[in-house]
Amino acid sequence: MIRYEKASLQTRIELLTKIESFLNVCGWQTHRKSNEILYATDSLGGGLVFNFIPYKGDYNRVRSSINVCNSINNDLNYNQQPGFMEMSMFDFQKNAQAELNQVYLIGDDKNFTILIDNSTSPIRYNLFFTCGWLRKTHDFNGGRTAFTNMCFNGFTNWSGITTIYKRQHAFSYNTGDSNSGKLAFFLGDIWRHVFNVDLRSSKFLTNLMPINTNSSETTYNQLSALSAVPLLQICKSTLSGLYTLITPNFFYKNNRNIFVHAGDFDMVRVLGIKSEIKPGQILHLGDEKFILFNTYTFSTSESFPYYIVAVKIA
Amino acid sequence: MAYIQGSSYGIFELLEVIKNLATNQGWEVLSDTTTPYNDIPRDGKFCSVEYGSDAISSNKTNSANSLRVLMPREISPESVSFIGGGSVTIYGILFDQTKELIAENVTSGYEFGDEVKAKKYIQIEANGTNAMRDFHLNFINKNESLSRYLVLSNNDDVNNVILNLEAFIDIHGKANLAITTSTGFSPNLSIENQLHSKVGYLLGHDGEIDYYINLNNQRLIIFTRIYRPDDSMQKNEVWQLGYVGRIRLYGGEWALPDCNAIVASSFKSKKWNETNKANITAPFVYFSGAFSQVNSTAFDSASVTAINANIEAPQGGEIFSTPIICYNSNNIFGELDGLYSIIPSDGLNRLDTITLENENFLVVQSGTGFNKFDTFAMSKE
Repeated sequence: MIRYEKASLQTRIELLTKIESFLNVCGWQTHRKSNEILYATDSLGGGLVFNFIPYKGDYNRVRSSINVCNSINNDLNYNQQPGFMEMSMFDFQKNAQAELNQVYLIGDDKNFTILIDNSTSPIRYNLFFTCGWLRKTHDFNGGRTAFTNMCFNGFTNWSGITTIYKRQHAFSYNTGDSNSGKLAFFLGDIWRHVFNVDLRSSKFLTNLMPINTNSSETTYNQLSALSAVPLLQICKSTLSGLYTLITPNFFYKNNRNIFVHAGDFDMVRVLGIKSEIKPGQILHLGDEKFILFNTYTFSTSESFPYYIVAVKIA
Repeated sequence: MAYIQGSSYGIFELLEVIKNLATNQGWEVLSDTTTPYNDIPRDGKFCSVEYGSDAISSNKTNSANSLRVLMPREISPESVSFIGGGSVTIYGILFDQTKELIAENVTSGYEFGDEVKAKKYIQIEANGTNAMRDFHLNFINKNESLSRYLVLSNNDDVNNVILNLEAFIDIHGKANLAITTSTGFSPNLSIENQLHSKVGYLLGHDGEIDYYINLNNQRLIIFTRIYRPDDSMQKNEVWQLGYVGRIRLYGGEWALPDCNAIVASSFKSKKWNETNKANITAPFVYFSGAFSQVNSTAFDSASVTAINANIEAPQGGEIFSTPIICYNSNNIFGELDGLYSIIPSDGLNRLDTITLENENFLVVQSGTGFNKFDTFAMSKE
């Protein structure tokens, strides 16, 4: 059963407490390591680590983060957890009494999504993080995924945080000049990501990666023929008026160097919009309900279409 | 059951199989007309007229002094009739263009001698001292068909699908089946001229045609296989595909009435051994009042190879399959119903039965030779 909650909160500690009780109700095991650190384990053993520290500002490597790991050991420090991979990197607002504004929490016993809505705060951003398990097509070791729109960009001599462009969509890869967020996949006991990597050596791909059949480029997509990006780009069919929603599908490379279909991440859809929508809008699809979230940076310069995500709430 | 397979001898038998399957499913026959092959076809239809087509025009006021025509199949002449013409001399033309005199200075109503009646000609020349009108060469054999035009309706008032199928023989040994949907039917019009039609062809021959058909009340899928190791040009198995009828819409029925698609191995009446692959990656879809060519997510070995589809079935899992979604830059229409692109594992062959999500499918292909990126799964339910 999927739980959905929306709350207005003032401090990051309140938020962490709220997340803790939300995850408990969903069926996760949690351990409040400290005021600022929360560990959580889902019903299949997947670990989640929250580290909520006060505002740091530019040039700081360590900031607030949401991270994944293979499992949780309560005795270890937050970034020492087995298989630890940092995902979201962000700052709360400077004002200690108004560190955030609104937050949306969605989850069940093995999936979790959070959107911190700072669209009206002094430092404007939406922090989107989702993690969960695929509906697997067959039995294999792994199958958990995590995606965030704000992460460490590799540069400690600048602001350090990268956020997604409007023209980029979720569940794809990030290259140096095209900010698409950070996508990670748990496979063969290791968390792997496609943030600024040579895609040719990636052990996983998704159907939302763009077409590129040039094998001498680092963004060569060995599954270009399966890419759903041409369909995604249609956004809204002019005749029927219906939006195109794509479910992220994952493929992993087996030990014969050929990809196989791992499964799909049914909790989320990716879509493009041709005119501004209100984040938090609810979409009904048959008897399922989705909530729409912006994943992009707030800048006025780019032109439509923008890409956003829809998260299942029922 | 919507699925049948078998083998027919010639194209007319195949059409009869489709008709029986359709009527058993509840389709209604709107029209079923056969044109016999017992005379030179009017207007030289399915013939190649070198000169003198006015002599055999359906407009009986047209005339020509001389006529030379190549017909679809050999015939034995019985008698001749014409208007005007004076006295007419007729030749049967042999394979090396030698003219054999079969009637000299005859008048209308002349019956050929027994010697001539025993011969067979595919090409005829007739020269009149005066202009000839309404020239008929009556064949001895009156039982063959030139063409049979069948029109079927699915009897659904809300979602009416009209299928048009015309089997015909043509020159160069062609025996083809024209297929299309239409949004209405007029008995006075030919298949190409029916309302909102787009005619595709399944190319056949006078011999054995293996067929694999899935028909429901919305659409017809037909795969055919012709294997002629004796043919000088094409010794591979030739697989053809026809998909004609509705696609499965992804919503928006109000905006997409009569949303038919046509995929066929040819859009010209060619010989069976001149076929290419069907236009599965670029189907014709009917929307906004006309058929337009759109894109699809189908695989085709011309564009999909191990370089951009480096995928196989997982350990103990199903082979990779994908629906064939029809779309253009502004619209996603829907998918073809009952037909999927697959990437079969090594060792999986045409005509194997596979299971995808608890449903049975037949592995088939489009084109000649065997390439795993040209294979499909066709529903057997």
